[in-house]
This record gives sequence, structure tokens and C-alpha cells, in this order.
Amino acid sequence: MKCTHYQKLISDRMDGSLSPASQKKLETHLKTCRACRLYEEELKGIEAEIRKLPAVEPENLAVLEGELRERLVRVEAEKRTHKPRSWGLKLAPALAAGAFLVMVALYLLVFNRPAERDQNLDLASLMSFEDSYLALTQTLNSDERLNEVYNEEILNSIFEEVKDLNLEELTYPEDYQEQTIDNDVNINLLTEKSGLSEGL
Amino acid sequence: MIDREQELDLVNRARRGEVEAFMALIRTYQVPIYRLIYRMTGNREDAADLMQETMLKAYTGLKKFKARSGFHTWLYRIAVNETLNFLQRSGREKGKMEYLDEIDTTESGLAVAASPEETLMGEEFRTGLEQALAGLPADYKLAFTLVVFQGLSHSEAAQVLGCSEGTVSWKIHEARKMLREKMRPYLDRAREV
Repeated sequence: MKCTHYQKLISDRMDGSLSPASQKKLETHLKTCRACRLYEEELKGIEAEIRKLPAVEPENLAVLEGELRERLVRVEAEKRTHKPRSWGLKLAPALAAGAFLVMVALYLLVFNRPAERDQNLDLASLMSFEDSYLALTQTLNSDERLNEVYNEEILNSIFEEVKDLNLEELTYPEDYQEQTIDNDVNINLLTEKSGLSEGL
Repeated sequence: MIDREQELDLVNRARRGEVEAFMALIRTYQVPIYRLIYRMTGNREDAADLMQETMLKAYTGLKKFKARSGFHTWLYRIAVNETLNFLQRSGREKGKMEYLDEIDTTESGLAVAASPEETLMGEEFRTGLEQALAGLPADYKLAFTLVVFQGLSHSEAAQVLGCSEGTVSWKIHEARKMLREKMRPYLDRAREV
């Protein structure tokens, strides 16, 4: 090993940071190396003088302490004035932002699916239709004349819808026909008994 | 000197807002911290201001103290950061080249003023030594001051400086070499005497 390496070991030994193994190596080297012995001697001389340098003291430590104490007391007073908000209040903005994001995510995931969007719109329109129907019923119940006009309009619109239909082509279930026949028979019996056949 | 248990008790009380507990906690370290900063800045007023700032930061940042290291190590770290920031702000941090330039200038001046009668332990030697110490580059000076003046171990200094023990060891070795070179005229003269 070169002397530069041992010079570093000398420095470490002066600080009490040298391992016993390295110390042994250093001592062996120093026995044979005059330059390193001189190096160590000079460093020790310098550090002996360093320890003799006058210790610097703060000129007005008591005043400095007083000033510091005042500043710390002010810090404490400010802490009490601006008391930290409770966790709930501290988290409120974050919670609000989180809730908003959840709502947006839900809308995108659930309500904004193309396939389901129309159904939801229908549901919405049905709900609004129900509201409208209730409002209309209330209005018609409160105004007789308007009720009549409305009924006429309804009947006209029905006639308009069915005028082009060929009713002959309509098929009916068997029991429907039988029921109709039965009803006709019953009506005939009733009219015969009451002598109202001409009137019908 | 307070023991570890007392120290932690004072730390906890100071965290709860007991100013006097904090004052008791720092009382032991105020002067060493002042001396460290003074070594770095070379100015008493700056050292006093930076010491106050260090203590204030330590008080307001007590929650960050994890007690993994000693309180004094943590306090030194704050002081070092404050001091290095100050030196950087004021453009007073010296690079190695500046230091070497300064050595040449100062050496010639002091060599002329020296007399043969002066010994190694003379006043002039100490003045030269103060100048040599002040002229060390900031990072070398920090490591050297923490270990040689403040008595920290390499391990503690490494914690304060946020580097490895090896780096601390190497920086102190280099600082000693620089000081020896700077003090060469005095050492040679002393040998002649």
C-alpha cells in the first residue's frame, strides 16, 4: 500500500474511527516509514493548536434566549388563533370532489350506455307523461265544457285511426265469438220480454 | 447534559406546546450550534441569526423528529441546512480552486510577517490556523468542524450531512491535508527552531 493510504488511516485514527486490524497495519507501517511518522506528527501538532483556539461564545446568549422564547410563544399563540380544523372539515373539499367524481363515473357507467340510454329516456318520458296525465285529469274534472271538447277530440282521433281498417279481416279468439253470440242471445231475450225490440 | 429518556420527555412536552420544555431541550446545544455556524460563516451576527432560525425551525418542525437519531444530530442537520442555504444565498460558499488561490495569497503575506523567534505554539501560528480553517471549502469544513470541533463521530457526522461514513472520513482526511499545506511555512519554521 502507498503512503497516501496510510495517511488516511492516520486521519481516521485521530478521530477514533480506525478498526483494530487497520490500526495494527498502520503501526507496522509507521515503524518503517519516516515520512508518514512526520505526517502524523505535523497533523497532531496542528490539532493540538486547534484545541487551544479560543472558544467562540455568543455575545448575548441571555438576550438571544429571551428573543427566541418570545418568538416561540407567538408561534403557540398563532396556533391557538388558527386552530386546525377538525378532520371532517379538513376532508370536506376532498370528500366533495370525491362524491362528484363518483357521480360522474356512475353517470358514465350506468346512464350513458348507448344501448340503455333510449330505455332510460323512455322511462323518463313515461314518468313525465304520468305527471302530465294527472294534471290533465285534474283540469278536465274541474271544467265540464273542456272535458266534453277533450272527449270529442279523443273520439275523432280514434275514428281517424280506424277508418281505413278492414274490420272484416280481424280475427277473434273462439271464446270471444261465442261470448259475443251469447250476449246477442241474451240481448234478444231481454228485448223480447220487455217489448223493446222495435226500439233497439 | 440530559439523558436520552429526559430528552424524549422534553421533546414530547415541547410537541404539546410547552415552550419552556423546548428551551430546556436546546439549552445544552445552543452554544455548540452557534460555534458550528460561526466556523462556517466567520461572522458573529450571522451566527446568532442563523442559530435563532435553526431553533425556530426545530420547534415548528418537532413533529418531523422521529427519534431514530439523537435530538442533537437532528438539530445539527437543521443548522447545517440553514447555514449552507445562507452561504449559497450570500454567494459565500467557496470552491476548492478558490481555496487554493487563497492559500497562495495568504501564505506569502504571512510568510513575510513571520519572525524566526516565533515558535509553533506562537500567536501567529494560531492566526494562520484560523485563516486556514476559514478558507476550507464549505463541505470539507463542515465535516471537519463536526468531528474535530464538535466531537461527533464519523457516523453521527454522516447522519448530519446525509452522506456515508466513508465520505465523512475522506473529507476530513482531505481537510487535514489542506490545512497541513496551508500551515507548511509555520511547520517548517518550527522545525528549524
